Amino acid sequence: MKRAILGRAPSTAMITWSFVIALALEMVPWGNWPVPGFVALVLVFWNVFQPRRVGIALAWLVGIIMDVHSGSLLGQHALAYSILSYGAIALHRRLLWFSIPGQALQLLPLFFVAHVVVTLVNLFFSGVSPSWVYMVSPIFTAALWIPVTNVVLNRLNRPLSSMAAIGR
Amino acid sequence: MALSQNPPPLFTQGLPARLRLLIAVFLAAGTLYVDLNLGLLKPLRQGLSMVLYPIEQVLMLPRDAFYWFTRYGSVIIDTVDRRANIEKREVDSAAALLQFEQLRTENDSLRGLLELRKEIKHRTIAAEISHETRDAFSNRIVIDRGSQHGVAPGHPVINARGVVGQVIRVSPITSEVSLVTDPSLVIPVNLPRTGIRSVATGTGDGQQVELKYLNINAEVEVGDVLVTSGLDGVYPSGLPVAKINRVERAGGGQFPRISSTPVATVGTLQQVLVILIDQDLILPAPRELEKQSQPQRGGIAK
Repeated sequence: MKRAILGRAPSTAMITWSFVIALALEMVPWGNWPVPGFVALVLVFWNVFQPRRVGIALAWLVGIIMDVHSGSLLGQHALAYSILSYGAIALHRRLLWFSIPGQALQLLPLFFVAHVVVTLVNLFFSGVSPSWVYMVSPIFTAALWIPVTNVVLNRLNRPLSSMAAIGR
Repeated sequence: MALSQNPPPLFTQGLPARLRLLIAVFLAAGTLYVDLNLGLLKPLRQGLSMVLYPIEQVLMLPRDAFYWFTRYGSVIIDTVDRRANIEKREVDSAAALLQFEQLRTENDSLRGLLELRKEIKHRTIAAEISHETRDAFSNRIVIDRGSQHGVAPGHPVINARGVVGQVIRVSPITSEVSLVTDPSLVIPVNLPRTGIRSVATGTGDGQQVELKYLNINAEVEVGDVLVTSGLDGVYPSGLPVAKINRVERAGGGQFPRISSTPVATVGTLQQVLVILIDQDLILPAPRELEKQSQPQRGGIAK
């Protein structure tokens, strides 16, 4: 079985762009579809593979941006993402020993917990509970882990072209 | 270069993860509290939303292009249909209009006689719905007019069919509107058929509006239309809000459960009208009111 491992460290630009793209996907006006949490996914991905570069502080910041965009109470996504990030960092050593679908299964409860945190905050502060469709979204997030991880790992494990290896 | 997953560091690096989590949680709880109670974060939110606005607009381009193609692709068939419809409606409404003019003059003179204050004529501005907010806990939309155009929190928003909602938060170029189906919005209404007054609130599922605290024996039937009563000084009176679709008679000691569907259904890229009412007529924002009366509300909102 192939172990999931990053062949070389991703550039800072790659990490930044992954967050920009994830935020962009979140900002597409999906309405109330249970779309996967793109930002949560990217966050957990880097938490697992690059825990020292992408940590809780970044998770918190990204959460605040999400709150502003979704027009919700400021701080709820920050809270959820911080917890998500902590969980991912705590899991990351064990997680790397699983196959990629196995990782997705391991991460599902984590995504679910982050989702429940947002729900509870809303229930507590505004007394509103969402429809059940909303609770389906973590499953899609976890499912999306499989293609995303495959693509990124393939990219980072591919041998550099000889020009690039010499040039820089 | 070595593999990026290195063995554990020999030396501790910064704060332990648990402490970091604790700090993050406290900070998040802090912002939640401050946002909810003190309203100090408004500049931060507005600043960030200004930064996000161009990005949001760019991201909506593909969607808008799709709408544009679907809309103008079938333009001929659609236009012919519509023209036929409009001509038919024009004939229908001509008679009603004549009668309306007559009734208005009559009404004006009667009001004068009764020394009632004349209906306040408000300024309005047209706006377009840009998108729904992605918050599963509230029913809100974002429109493309903001404080620069004179929109302020509390202004009612209507469309051709009736009440859409109320402006709840503004930034310089956009504003958020709570729909009538939002549970935080309460609209005083009356039933023109029977003259009963009540308040309508959203149920939060995005479909329904509920009538609260009606008399057990109130005569309410399916199909009755709720219109704004104008008692709050915010909504002009007589605007349709919702149509009753279900009435559950009350059991012993309970209020009847009456639900209705909003008349002004909204999609994206639709035109709405913001009514710029006088600032001094506007009550505090719903959230502030909610805070003042939280003990009671928590009890009966179930």
